[in-house]
Amino acid sequence: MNNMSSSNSQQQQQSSEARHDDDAVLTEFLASLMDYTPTIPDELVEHYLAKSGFQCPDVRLVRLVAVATQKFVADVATDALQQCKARPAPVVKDKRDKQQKEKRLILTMEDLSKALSEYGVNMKHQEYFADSPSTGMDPASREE
Amino acid sequence: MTVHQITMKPKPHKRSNKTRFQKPPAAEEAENQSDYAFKITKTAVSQICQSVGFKFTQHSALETLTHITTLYLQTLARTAVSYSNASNRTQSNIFDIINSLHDMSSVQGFTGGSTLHCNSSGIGLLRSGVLKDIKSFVEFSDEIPFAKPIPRGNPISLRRDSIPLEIDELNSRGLHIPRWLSRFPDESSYKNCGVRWEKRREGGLALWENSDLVSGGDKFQGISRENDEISDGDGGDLAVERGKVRFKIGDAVRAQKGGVFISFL
Repeated sequence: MNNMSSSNSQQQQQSSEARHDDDAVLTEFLASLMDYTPTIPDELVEHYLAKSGFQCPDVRLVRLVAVATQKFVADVATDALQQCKARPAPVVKDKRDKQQKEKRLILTMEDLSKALSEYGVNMKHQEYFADSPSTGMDPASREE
Repeated sequence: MTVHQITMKPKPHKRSNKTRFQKPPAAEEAENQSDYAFKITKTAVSQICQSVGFKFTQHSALETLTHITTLYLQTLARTAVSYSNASNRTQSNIFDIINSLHDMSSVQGFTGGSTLHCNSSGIGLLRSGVLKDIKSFVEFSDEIPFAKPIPRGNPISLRRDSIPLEIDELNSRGLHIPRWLSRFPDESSYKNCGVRWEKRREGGLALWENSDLVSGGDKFQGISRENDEISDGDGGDLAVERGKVRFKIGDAVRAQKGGVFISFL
């Protein structure tokens, strides 16, 4: 950590062309955050930041944290969706084919835990506390 | 545990940003019931899930993802704070956030992660792959504002003895006092103290019962008056006068013989 901080200060002393470019890109990005409304509201982020002892008067950084969190959630959800879609399609007996396909897009614990395991979160839910009588069955093949 | 698996209502014909929940039974998630922040996060997370393409969700899955989200936020903040503290700052800046983002995303890896610490000039921080990912996320993903505006609570009033934030006050006290120190206690608590004692001394000797230690405040007034009432009598004497009793040692045997037995109380 100390190396990092000293490198920070060193970096501030340096002034190379490349750095100017990066600076400009970063400034532009931060400015664009002012116009962007993250799904996670600022108030919520500020609450959690304050709870963790984070102090910063800059709204743009709060937005940056909000966007980073939003990206994380979206990534996890996308991975879970891929898991969900990768499941072999159930045998469709009825003709309500389209409806069945819609029904398949359910965020389940199973898919979520698989998605989260890629992000370093080991989630194990207790299977004997059944979410529903049909837990353990393939959610896609479940009959309503 | 009881069932309910789907909390998000499907809206096949009309897409809207609002997510509606079927009200779960009251017995469920009692511990989170009061947690306002958790509920807001839940709404935001379900909005994100809906935007990704999910139509339904298990209740437990949504709760878990919400919990993970809050943990992610707090860990991100805490790591940033520790980075800023390590470089002798209390306020965090963008480099702390980028560093903490690197820490958070080191599990699945990111572009340029392998050369992150080799670069002594620290330019890597500005060229961070994580930051670029976030940038492209902002550029290419749809903007979904939160469903409802959140009312801001009243600003927290600072306590009197907290760290002064006004510059006037900081200047008024000596420069030798570091600015992170909190206010001094009220002046009356230390400036007039000596004067009061001198007055007391001039007034002559006072009874211990009336001194500040016993009847210091109004609170103890009642007690001290009680003490006064009791001490009004002839110190230590009984209220009712009793007749004198005489004892003669050696006469007890004779007295018993006579049929009279005097026992002393």
